[in-house]
Amino acid sequence: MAIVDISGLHKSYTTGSEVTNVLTGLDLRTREDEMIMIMGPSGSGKTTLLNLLGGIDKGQKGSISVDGREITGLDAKALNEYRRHQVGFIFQFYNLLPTLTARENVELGLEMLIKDKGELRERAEKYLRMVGLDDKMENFPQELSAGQQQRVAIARALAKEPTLILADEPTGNLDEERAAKIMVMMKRLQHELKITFIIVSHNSYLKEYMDRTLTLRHGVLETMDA
Amino acid sequence: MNNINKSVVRKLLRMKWRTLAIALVVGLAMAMIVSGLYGGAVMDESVQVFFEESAMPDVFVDFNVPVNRSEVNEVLATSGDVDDFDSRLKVGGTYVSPNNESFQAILIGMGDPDGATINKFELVKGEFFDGTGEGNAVSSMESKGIRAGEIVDVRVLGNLVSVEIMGTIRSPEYVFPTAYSDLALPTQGSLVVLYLPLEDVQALINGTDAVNDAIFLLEEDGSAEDAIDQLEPFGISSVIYQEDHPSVVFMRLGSAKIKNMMPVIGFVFLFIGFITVFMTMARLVQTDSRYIGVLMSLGFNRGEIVRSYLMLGLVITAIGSILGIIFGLLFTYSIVVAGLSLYMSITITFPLDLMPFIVGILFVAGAVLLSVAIPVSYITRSSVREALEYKPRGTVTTSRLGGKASRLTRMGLRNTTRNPARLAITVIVVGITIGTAGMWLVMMDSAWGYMSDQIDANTWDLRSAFNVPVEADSVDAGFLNLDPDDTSYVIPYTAMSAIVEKGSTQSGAYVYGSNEMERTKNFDVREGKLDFSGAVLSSKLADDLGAGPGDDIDIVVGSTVVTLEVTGVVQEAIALIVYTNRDVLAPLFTPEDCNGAYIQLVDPATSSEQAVRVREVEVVAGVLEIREVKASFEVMLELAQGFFLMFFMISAVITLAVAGSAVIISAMERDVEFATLDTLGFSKWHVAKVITVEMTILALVSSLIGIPMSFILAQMLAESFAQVLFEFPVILATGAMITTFFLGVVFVLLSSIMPIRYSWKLDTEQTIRERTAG
Repeated sequence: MAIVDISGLHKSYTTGSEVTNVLTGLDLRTREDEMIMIMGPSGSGKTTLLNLLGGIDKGQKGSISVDGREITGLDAKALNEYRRHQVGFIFQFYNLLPTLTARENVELGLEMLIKDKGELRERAEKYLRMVGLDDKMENFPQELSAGQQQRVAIARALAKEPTLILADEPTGNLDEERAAKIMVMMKRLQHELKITFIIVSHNSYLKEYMDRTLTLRHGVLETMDA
Repeated sequence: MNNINKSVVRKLLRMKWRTLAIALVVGLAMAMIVSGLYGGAVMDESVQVFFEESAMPDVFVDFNVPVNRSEVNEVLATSGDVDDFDSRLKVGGTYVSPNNESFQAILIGMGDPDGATINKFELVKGEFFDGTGEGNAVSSMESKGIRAGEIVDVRVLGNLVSVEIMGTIRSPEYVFPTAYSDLALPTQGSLVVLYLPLEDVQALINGTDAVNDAIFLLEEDGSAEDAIDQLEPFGISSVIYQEDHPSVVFMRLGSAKIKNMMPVIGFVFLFIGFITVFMTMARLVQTDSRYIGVLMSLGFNRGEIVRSYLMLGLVITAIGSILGIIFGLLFTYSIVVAGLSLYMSITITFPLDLMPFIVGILFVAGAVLLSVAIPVSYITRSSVREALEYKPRGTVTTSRLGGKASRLTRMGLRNTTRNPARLAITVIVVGITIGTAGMWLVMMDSAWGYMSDQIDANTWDLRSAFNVPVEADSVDAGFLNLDPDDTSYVIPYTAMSAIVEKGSTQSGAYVYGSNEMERTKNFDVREGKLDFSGAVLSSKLADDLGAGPGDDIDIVVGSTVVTLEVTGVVQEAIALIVYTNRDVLAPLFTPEDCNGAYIQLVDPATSSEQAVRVREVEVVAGVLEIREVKASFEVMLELAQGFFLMFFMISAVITLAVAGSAVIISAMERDVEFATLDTLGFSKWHVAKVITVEMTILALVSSLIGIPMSFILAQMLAESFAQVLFEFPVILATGAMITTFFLGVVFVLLSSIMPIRYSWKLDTEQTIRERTAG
């Protein structure tokens, strides 16, 4: 079964009297445990696609199904539920809460799913260990390097064990060496946890870690390495 | 605590100084509310306890002439209405201090002071008198030589009496030992009150077993009227019930003033606190928008996010409430101590009354939580995408202010107007705060002017009171031991204290009857006309009774009643007085007689020496100099100045906190600009200059707004005074205006330390990386 099934997706923005068509009938199907990278020039709609997939924006036309669940018609409450259980986000600037420690940041994403404090802590620590931050769990974000912060963000996204992880330029703020380490780790976790990754990036050197690389051009996806 | 709340609490800890500044503003607002409500309660309780423990008499009766003590005692002892009583002999005299100042004195002859069961004394220093030639003085005139261990000379009925002061005391009937109780202003330092063995005072008037005063406590179901009726055959000149006694009236006025005044100030501060919290929270939530977006992307709903930010409000409320309780108790204590010690200290009793604190906390919580909830609810209405993509305000309103000024000055000037709406709110809020500080200065000036006007309205220089009724036609300059060439007029009057009733409403009042009343004072007529064939009421009395021209009022002394029609009301906002002709008081007092005289001197500067001459007249019980009254008011106002200055300082500190909180918001918005200036090689001092220019404009405009605000707020405060005490005519004096403006500028400029400190502590690298990348 396809984890993500998008068909005929349209999205446009209106600025004053000007209408910008960002997505024009976009289709996409992903398999379970697949890592896809979407590339494309600035303003091509990559982030818009992620936002639509994450249920934080709505398209005008078309359908999006994630793990067999149609999300385009969901109301705000149902979208909250969807984000809570099925999807994880990784941002370019990590977006960690600066006043929470690494462990607390990971716990934050789990709090609505797990009520038992012991279990909550155990889960957060498990994923922090998985991303190699065993000894940094009680550090605040500002006490961590850029790469370590991104690993916390990845652990936060993974910890709720979603079916889909959406990553917007996850290595955009890291040097090549650190980016490679992050990608190796994400690749390992993809297989271990059977999670689908959709990654938006400008960095073509990430292609080697991908199962597929697509280019978003003129509002539709084109296969790059066909 | 869950992690989302933990995050908010830690955020608060990071901005601890700003949180404290905001909490200080709301805490002080609460303190004002608390001290208003609780201060009044403490004063009421302290007064109540003092009067109960000291067995303050329920009724004070004065007789026209000395009467037989045994007969009075027998009537009181057999009365079923009277629980406890004492009968005493009071005579007036003059005390001349070592500095040759003369003061009115009252000598009261009584039994054993130590064993008194009514009007009980509290020893301040020394011991009670125990034999002839000894006495106790009411504490308050120590600076005039009336001290324990001293021998003082008092002139009574032409004789010099020496009394050894064994100790100083507090007496419930002279909590405010003032010679001007009919002026209804509690001043002190004007009256010498001495308690002596009864026989010593009786010897002065050659009256064996004579008394002219009775005080008593009523049985639980006793009737004051019935008890007074039983004393009527002795000839009563005045009756004062406890609730109308100056000691009680002044203390109640004090607590009523505090109860009304302080909450008004509290609510002004609360409004300022509300705006400050609102502005700060709006900015904080905007800055946090990205994190709010992250929380939304993690599946938190709006309610959960709003609730977490309400934690901020709760923490501010909690800190504010703690500060409010501490400051509230401190203010209450200071106000009550200062208020009571202004006259004469009594023990302060703090009642266990939680209501003022609960009310204060509820108001603070309401204002703070509302000011947090509004901006947070507004921001969380945006979509996750909008929240995630939020960047601090990018557009600014541009201007070409500054002309040829230096680049830094121009930047400062243009920064001032970059967000006109916020600038307007900021200058108004800071202006109100400065106005709150200036209000106290305006009040001080106005009070001073008002009191001076009230006293200057009197045309007399001396007012003498007689021991016994005197034929009015015989009272002239010569009778008063004065040279006719030194006096402009001598006007006899009859004065008495009485109960004035209109329907079921009644009030204690002083009644002044004179056939030339109009000459004694420049009356300011509020209603009706100056027709002394009826009753002309002071505005305070008219308002208390709800009486106006055309209404009938009853003047009751003992069981004798005189009904008069109210013909006019005069502006006299403090005293409870009925002015009328002497002859209409006939049933109460022989119309041909008087018991005092107003004296106008050709040369007012000689009033002290002329007063000494008048005091030498045998029938003269006391002489009041208008000059003394004025000096006494000035002493009182100087003491009150301490209050005003204390509140001025509190308000000024709030100005600092409010201005600082307001401008730091604007500074936070410009972190990228500050970082850019740093990368361009500008020093920290350059940045400080830009901020200082901006703050100077803010300080000048806010302080200008503060001037009319101080006037408006002073009028609001005066309005609340009018409810309980008197209508306070507020004037905006130049001195108060200039001081308000100058101090406003200084305090706002001082607050620029906050944004300057912020810009100096900014991490340029982090700011550039996080706020400009992507």
